[in-house]
Amino acid sequence: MLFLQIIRTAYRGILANKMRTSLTMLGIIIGVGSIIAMLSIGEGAKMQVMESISRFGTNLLRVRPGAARLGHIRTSNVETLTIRDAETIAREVPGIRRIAPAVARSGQTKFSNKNATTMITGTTPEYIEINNFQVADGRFFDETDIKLVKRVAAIGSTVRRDLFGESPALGEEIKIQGQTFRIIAVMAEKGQSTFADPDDQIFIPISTSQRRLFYQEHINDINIQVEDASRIPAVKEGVERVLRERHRIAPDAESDFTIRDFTEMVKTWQETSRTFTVLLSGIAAVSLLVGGIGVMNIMLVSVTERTKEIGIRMAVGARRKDILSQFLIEALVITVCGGIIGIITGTSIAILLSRFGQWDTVITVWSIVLGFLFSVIVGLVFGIYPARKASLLDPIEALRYE
Amino acid sequence: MNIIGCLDRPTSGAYTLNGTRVEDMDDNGLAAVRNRNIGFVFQSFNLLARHTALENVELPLFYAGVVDARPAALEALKEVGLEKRVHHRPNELSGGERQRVAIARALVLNPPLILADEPTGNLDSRTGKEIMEMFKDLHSRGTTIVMVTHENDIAAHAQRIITIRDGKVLSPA
Repeated sequence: MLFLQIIRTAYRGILANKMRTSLTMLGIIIGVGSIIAMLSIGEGAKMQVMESISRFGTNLLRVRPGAARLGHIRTSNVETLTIRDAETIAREVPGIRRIAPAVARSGQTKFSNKNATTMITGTTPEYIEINNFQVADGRFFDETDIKLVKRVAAIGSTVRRDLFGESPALGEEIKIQGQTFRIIAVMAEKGQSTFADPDDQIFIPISTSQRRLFYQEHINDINIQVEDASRIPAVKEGVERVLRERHRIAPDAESDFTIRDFTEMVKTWQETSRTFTVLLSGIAAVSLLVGGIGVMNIMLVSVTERTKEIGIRMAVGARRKDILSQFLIEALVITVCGGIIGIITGTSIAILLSRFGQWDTVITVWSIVLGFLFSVIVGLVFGIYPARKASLLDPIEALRYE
Repeated sequence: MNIIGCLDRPTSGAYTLNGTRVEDMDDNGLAAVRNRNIGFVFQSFNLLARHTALENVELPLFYAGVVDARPAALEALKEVGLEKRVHHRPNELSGGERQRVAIARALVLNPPLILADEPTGNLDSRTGKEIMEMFKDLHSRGTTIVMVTHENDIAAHAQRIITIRDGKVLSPA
């Protein structure tokens, strides 16, 4: 029997029971659709992690004052970390590419009649390189500005928008905590991160922040970029040793600072998002399995109902394999049609999720191929038993069946 | 009848059709014999309800691997005088017309043997007569027709009559 003819026969068999077939197909549509949607969510999460990596910068360590205690990072306002600590680390710990101490406090900014509360970061030029910030306009302050304790500022794009709207900001003077600063740079937009908006930030020389603005000797963090990932543990250890020594901490006492390893954090996220994807896809696969059982169920009913037809076909010369392929292809038509509709549905859901929901979704070609393959496999696996049953019918019994 | 039609193999004894021993054939071989050498005409017509007359007649052609089955099927339907009803489904046809579709299906591959199991059993006598005329015509062109019937006047059409009662051959004529 010709392939086209089998397809036509299968098509007719399916059309004969529209309601039944569409309900069966719905199981496959939901299964394949949810697999596509879940994979796109997982893929989106992976992308987000990748983006965070590039946003944070790579091989980053951050030292903060205060001990880590059961999930709480800072226990109190510890004022132990100083620029000298950073300098000593830079001198004594090998494997560090860049190091930048920073004072970070929120402050009030004002331009003409506009007010904004934003993060004021007093630091050195290395900070922006460690943390992957780019200057969009103007120049970032340099060592001379720090030495001369200049009142200059580099503002983030969110601050620029809040204070200046569409008008130019470069060269304007703004008030920070009542003090006048000249804007010498506008930073390029970095984009929303998971924790805070890195663009809602003003950078000023660290000396200015300590002596002219916040009047504080201590610093709030030390940013360290390690030469390469393999040296992260060694550098971490070195930093710990130097700081404990400088802070005169007894060997059995807790450190009064915390070292955060961003590479490790990113790795943890990656693993979490992978687990998440596997879990969701697993649930989706189970629903596809249930859909497949539905197909098998309906095919068994169909074989019983059409016993007479099978007998007639055998009498006019159908071989067992003709009957087998007829019913197998009928099951495949159901699952593949369901699969294609499911792919379309799943893709639409993913697109809607990223447009109207909080989810970032990415649809990859391989997830579509996978969805299609699954629908074929389900058709084969759950179609073969009913089809075999049909092909093994005794022609005489089948002809006698009413 | 099932054994003559190659739907079943004899459990004992031998059946040779056209020089081939049927009891030695496998399922595929039997299917091929049914397809090529035997045409079936049943009392209850046994047409596929969802398919048109034309598609029913095309069926043996498809299983024989004929690529374009339509011309031969149309020809067979014309032969039984149904050229105007080819796109009707069985439930849109009268009993006589249905049986003629079944005959067209039986003869479409020109088998040397047609098996008819009470072909007139579900038909009124006038239609039954028409069917018998059709068989006679086929017979005159060289097709062997084996028919089972309870009616003596239908049996009278045959060249050779074998009477069977309760499974025993009574009168080999």
